[in-house]
Amino acid sequence: MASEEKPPAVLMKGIVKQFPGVLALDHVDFEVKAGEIHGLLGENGAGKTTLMSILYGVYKADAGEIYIHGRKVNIRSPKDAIKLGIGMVPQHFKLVMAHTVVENVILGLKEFGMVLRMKEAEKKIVELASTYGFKINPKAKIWQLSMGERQYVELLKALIRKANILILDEPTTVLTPQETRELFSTLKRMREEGKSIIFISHKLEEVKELCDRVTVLRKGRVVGTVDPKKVSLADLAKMMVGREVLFRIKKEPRKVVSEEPILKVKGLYALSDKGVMAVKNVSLEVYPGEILGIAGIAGSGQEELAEVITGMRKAEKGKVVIAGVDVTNTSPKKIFELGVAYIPESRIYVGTAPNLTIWENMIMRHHRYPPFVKNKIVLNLPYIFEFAKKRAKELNMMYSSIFAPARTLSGGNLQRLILARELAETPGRKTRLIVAVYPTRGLDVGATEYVRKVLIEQRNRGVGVLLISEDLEEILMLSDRIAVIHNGEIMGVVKAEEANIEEIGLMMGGALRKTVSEKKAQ
Amino acid sequence: MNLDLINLFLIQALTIGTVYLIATLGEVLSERAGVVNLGLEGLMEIGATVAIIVALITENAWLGILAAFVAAAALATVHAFATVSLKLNQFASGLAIYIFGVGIGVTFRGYARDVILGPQALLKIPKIKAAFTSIKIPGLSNIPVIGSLFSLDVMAYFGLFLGILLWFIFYRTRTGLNIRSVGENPAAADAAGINVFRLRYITTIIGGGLAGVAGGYLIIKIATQIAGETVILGRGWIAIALVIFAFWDPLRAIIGAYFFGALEALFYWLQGYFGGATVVMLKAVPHISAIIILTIMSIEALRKRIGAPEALGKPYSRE
Ligand SMILES: Nc1ncnc2c1ncn2[C@@H]1O[C@H](COP(=O)(O)OP(=O)(O)OP(=O)(O)O)[C@@H](O)[C@H]1O
Ligand SMILES: [Mg+2]
Repeated sequence: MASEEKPPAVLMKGIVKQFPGVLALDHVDFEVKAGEIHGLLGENGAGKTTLMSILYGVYKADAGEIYIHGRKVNIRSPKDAIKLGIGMVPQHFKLVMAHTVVENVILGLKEFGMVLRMKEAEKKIVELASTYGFKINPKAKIWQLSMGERQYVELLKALIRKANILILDEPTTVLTPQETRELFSTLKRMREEGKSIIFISHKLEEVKELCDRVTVLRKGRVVGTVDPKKVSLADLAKMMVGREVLFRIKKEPRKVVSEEPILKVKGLYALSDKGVMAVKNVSLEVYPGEILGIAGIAGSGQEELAEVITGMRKAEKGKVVIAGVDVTNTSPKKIFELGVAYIPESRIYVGTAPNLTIWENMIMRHHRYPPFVKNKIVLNLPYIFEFAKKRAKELNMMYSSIFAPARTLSGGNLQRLILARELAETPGRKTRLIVAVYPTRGLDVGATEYVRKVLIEQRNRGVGVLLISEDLEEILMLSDRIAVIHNGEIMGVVKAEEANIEEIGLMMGGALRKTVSEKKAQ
Repeated sequence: MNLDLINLFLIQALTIGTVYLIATLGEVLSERAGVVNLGLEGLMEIGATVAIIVALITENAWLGILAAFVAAAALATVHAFATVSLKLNQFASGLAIYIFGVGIGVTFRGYARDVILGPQALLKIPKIKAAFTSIKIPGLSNIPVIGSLFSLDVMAYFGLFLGILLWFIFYRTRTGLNIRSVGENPAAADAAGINVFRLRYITTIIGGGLAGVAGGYLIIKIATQIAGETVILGRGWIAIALVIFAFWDPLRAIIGAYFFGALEALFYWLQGYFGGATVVMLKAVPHISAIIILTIMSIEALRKRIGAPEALGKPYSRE
């Protein structure tokens, strides 16, 4: 741990950042001691990413001072930050997918010459990785790597630039529990070396386990800095949200609404973007009023499965039937009209159009139908603005104005925008099936609680829900039945009350296959 | 068939192939950094006009080629400004360059022929063409049939050299890694301290300049008079399609360019036997290319599948 006489690694004083319409940071004081892991907590839109972007030179603060190792500095760009030994692993990775690990790591570095000495670079990367206790194949292409490995590539980029202050913005949101544990041991090793680490996360247990101190932000202000070992999870959550938060959600037993499945998938095959078979012979059914959870390591084909069901991807073979209508390879529009709500994985590209305004994003897909449109062509703007504001309020969104572009929303608020749109019911259309892909990824505890409540509420009203998540706990908490997917294949379907974590873990890893009789859910 | 005919065919194929090659490599350079330039046809036309005028006035083909590079590069700078700085649609800007380039190129050439150069300029054409006589590699060039492969002109050697050089730059050097990264993920490159805007300007300008060189070479090499109509004849569009067929790889571009050169030469020969029908087919090729280009470029999934640079056609802004 830090010795008292050393100046803090990072000291930010009175930081103010005003975005058009939002005061993102309001006189924030933030201190990280040398050699500590410092947690940064806060609701979606609290200003965590903004604060770190200022430290890393991406944004310029309107007011405030920054001291690094006791010296006052002026950080105008990431280049300045790198020179000061600051490294950042961004919330959304900045990697070149088609390039190799080495190519990504040495991008922008001069030390390997004009004619690149690749062998030397590869060796250095392997060595650096082993110093911190992980392995990486420097010749692998990024798109072939798991999320965990990609994270390590981002870490290597910072380490090779000799960072001793590391910022990790929600590093664990995309990791499996196993990968998270490995990352933690790497981070602990870095701390032993005297590096200072800033760790942003919405998962309170993680923060409690890993961090020496935690600073909590709420709506751009510091609520306080505490020792996480000395406070309870509930206290931390309360500091963040300003009220009590439910960690468990009560769920009534399922009422059988209908024996007819709302979604029926039969012998489905689909290709991934790279042209390899990602979904292999998948058959499953979702009944009205039930939540079918799909458990599996991210990238096992579940995203592609959801895309085929919602009409965004072509089925190579097999059938998709929604509400008795064969919709295989029809259009997303037709499927939407049948009452399917889609919460996609990629919020930025599929879920929203980042450069359009919030109100436009809010009515996308609805805009063809009355009352959003009058006489089939003219947008009913007064109604739309009213609708957008109402839905934003219902979902507790934090935003400057409905006329601001969607890209200005924080990660969590973007997710709320999608929910606000997809779950909106209009006179002409009732939600009958929800396809939710990682619906709480990157959401704060309050928002997570809200989304889960919404899913259960919809289920209780007789909507069928297909829930895809890599968070096993979430799957167990919400689902009525659980299908486990591995490498594009369904390894088995189990009832939630009979589910056993060990067994599901084995099935996720492909080590166990359970064939269940095609029995209807009770 | 006699050997001389085959030789003539090969020379024609390699000449047209070289035009394709230089233009294609320019476009590869530009697209690798993420900027599509649909204005290639126009840049080649401008290059042709400037090359022939300057070459005839100075009586030096090389000065003509140099001027063609500068003129086309200048017009490509407009494209860079529109797409990189103003972040306008690359297709729209490219099409504007295409229309402007062909229009101005053809009109100005006619004007220069009638008003600036005068009829006696035509007499100098053989003289400037001499710059592109073939250089025979001793020994190899005497082999029957394939000997013509070793008696190319300077520009053909330059095209080959440029292809290999570009490949080396892309895959072996720091600059190449920077260019490829900017074309794939400009945000990642920016975060690594690379000046995305500057790099895109440079590649777009040099790439455009090369199109001018291709046009200049074409007009000087084949000219018997100064044409008052287009001399590029849609080859710019074929060159853009070649970039796709080459999967953005300079070495594959060499093969593709020569293949299309041979194909075009073959058409001219067939024309002797079958007449009009082949001409119609030949004229259709650029149009078909344009359709293929636009189709492939607009289908995201297809682009991914064939390995187009991920950020191709997308303006970059830091937010
Ligand atoms: N470029 C921008 N322009 C306008 N407003 C912005 C911009 N970036 C962020 N904001 C706003 O600033 C506030 C803080 O956003 P920030 O991204 O820092 O939140 P966060 O704490 O990282 O949230 P999350 O957990 O959802 O990632 C939000 O209200 C957001 O809408
Ligand atoms: Mg954030």
